[in-house]
Amino acid sequence: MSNKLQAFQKNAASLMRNKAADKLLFYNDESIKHGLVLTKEQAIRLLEAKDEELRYHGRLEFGEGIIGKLITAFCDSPYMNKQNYSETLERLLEIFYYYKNETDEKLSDNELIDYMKTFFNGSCEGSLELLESRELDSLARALRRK
Amino acid sequence: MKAVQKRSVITPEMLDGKAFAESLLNAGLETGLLAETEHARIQYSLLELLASRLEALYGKHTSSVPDELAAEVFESLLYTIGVFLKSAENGDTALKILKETEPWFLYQKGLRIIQILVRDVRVLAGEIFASRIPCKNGFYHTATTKELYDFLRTYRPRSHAHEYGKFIYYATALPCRDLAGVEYIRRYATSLLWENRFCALFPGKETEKVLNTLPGRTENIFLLLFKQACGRVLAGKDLSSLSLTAEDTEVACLLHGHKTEAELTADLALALQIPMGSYLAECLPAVAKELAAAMKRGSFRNVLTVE
Repeated sequence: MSNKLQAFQKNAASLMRNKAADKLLFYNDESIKHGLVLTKEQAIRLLEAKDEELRYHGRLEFGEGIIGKLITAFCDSPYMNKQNYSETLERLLEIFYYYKNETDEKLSDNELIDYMKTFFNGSCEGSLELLESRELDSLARALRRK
Repeated sequence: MKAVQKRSVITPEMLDGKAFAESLLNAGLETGLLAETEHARIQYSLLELLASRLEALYGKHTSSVPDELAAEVFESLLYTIGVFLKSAENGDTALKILKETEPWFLYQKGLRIIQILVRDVRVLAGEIFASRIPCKNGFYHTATTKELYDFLRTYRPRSHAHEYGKFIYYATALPCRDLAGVEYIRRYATSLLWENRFCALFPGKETEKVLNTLPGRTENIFLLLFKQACGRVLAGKDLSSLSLTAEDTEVACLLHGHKTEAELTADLALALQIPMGSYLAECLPAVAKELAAAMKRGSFRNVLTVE
């Protein structure tokens, strides 16, 4: 990333994260119906993890961001529970950004999340390992061959 | 009465014409006109603007883009804001505007100016095409007939407003180092049109003779003709023609060989009736320098086309 943009982001990071954490807590209104709630600390931790993933994968996020979409998509999954909720979201984030790059931008966010959800709730039976190393890997290979 | 102008703490030297908005922010911090908290607030609001621009450009399918793409859009956004801020009377006023105005508003204003500049370039490109000089210089030919139009066709002010120059290989006499994007192209096109107009002052056969006898087919054609015209004037001849004989060059050396660059510049400006501040006036010192040096070296006739 250009030094200019990096410097700007560094300076504004904590301000941005706080605002974003407050926005993320609005998703509790939906997830609480399935017994899942994020605390402000967990929201901040998730945002930090997201920033790390974005940095690692060389991407910049804008708009509402992906965490909200992941919450909306996965909060009704039978394999989500309040003990693993925050950690699972963190892993899903990692997997999402990894495959966003691996699929050469051929899938929109919503398409990739739909695949992830279908595999996670279906053939993977809630296993993040299988989702990452088997299903999405095959999908990415197939897309790259196209 | 002379207008009294308030002295600006931020001087023009602190500002970068290619990256005006960033240099303004840096200058604000350096001079203490901008507190660190304000600096962070402005940076944050610029990032918010970047997010909304990325969303508008790519948000239909994705909520994130590769860094390189984001960095380019950010550069473009800062450039666009800078284009508007440059219209402020000085650096202090520009910083005040940046501090007190929503970035989105600055961006829209900058975009409007860019659109006007693009329109200017379109008009200039047409005039350049119509006034182009027939010659064998391939770079000149493509610059006047193709490259400016390529720029107009491919320029993307909403995502890559800062990009410039990669289309054009022909160099004008005055290099433009302090502008980017369409500002650069507009300056370039204006220079090229001035050069064409000067070249068109002479009969086609005369210019053809000068341009085609020289080996360099990539040199700036205006400079070749301008130099030749200066040679004529120094030899005491009028500009009804561009031809020079060996005797003419000897006369020129006898009359002016002892003069400094500055003296030669002043003499030529007077003889050619070049208005101060004009394009020719800006080009003249370099030409006078080359001619003065050639006269002192005894190679005056080698830098001109002599029959």
